[in-house]
Amino acid sequence: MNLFQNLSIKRKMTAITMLTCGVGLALLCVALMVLAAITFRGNLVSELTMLADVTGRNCAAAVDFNQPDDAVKTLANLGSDQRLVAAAIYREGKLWAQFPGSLTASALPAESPGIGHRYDRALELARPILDPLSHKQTGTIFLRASLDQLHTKLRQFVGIAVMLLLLAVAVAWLVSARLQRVISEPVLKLADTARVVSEKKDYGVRAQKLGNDEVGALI
Amino acid sequence: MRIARRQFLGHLLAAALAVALAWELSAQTPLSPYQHKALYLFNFAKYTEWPKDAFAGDDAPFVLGILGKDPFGKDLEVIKGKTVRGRKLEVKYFSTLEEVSGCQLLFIALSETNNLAQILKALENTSVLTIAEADGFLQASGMINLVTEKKTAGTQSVAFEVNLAAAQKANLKLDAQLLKLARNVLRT
Repeated sequence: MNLFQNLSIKRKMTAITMLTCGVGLALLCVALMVLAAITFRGNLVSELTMLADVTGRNCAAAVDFNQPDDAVKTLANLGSDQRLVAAAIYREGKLWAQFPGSLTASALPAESPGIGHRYDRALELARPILDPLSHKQTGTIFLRASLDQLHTKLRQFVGIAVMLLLLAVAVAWLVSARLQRVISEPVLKLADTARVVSEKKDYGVRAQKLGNDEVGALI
Repeated sequence: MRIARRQFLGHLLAAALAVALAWELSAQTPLSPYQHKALYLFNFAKYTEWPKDAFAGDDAPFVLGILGKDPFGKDLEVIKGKTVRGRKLEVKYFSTLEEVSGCQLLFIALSETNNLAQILKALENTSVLTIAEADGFLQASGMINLVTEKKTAGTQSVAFEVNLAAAQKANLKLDAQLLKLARNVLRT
């Protein structure tokens, strides 16, 4: 604090501005990042929900007719989505169709998982497969998506936010360097005058009045 | 708060589902071939769209007709009391072609195999989904033929083939998902 008190008014002004500005922007950045993380996760959940529902609808007849081979073909279409690492369908509570077929049994829940989603190391989501007419649940579709893509996106976002933060602080420094003169100049001028008075013992010197604010009142 | 509530609902649903499944599993024994076929008949009805004039009225039931010597017997009970597109499922038994009337789905039993051409001719220009389990049924312009397939482990499973052109001629819309499951689809 002492160090700060010994700084010139000009520096103090700049420091205060930069600190205020920096803290504000940093808080904003953190808030935005949290918001982004929540949004990204929410988007992933809603996209996967949609995928699961569409795929589930396309598997409804296969579930009704108990033809897992056909369901596996439909599940395989999900393979084009890079995020999906596993997909499965449960019929009568038991694992009934899965993709990729190479997955070991332990990689998937053996029994029908509860409807909903959860984040583990990956996002796991389960949706009901409904009868197209009665809308009764006939099975459950389960998807597991890797979070790698989401994390990459978040890292990019953090990178951009930090860069913007630095840029904003730099601009703030330039602006404050100019604006702080409004306050510091009259004070510096008054200080100059006072120094002349005390050095030359010339009490006739008058300070130049730059405005009618509190500093102006001192003159 | 919302997430917590959603999770709670999720758990509740899961619990309810588990109970329902446990109940269902306890009630389930392996299906006999004709129970399997009965479920198929019901499922065909589910994935087929009939024109409005195929029914007597909005409250009319959905009628499943069985022509010839009934092979189902008690096995048909697996679909008893179900509804098809909001209509109550009713089963009618016909012993001769002349008796056939007022049904949307007709299962033609093996006993009538020799009369297939005659039966299908009589049903022309009606919106009746015809189903049988006889070789050459599709070639005689029947719509869906049930085929019993032998699987490797000695178990049997039921597959089906579809004559789509015949169904279209009768103004019946078969769901694409149904066609996808068919072992064979005749389109012309």
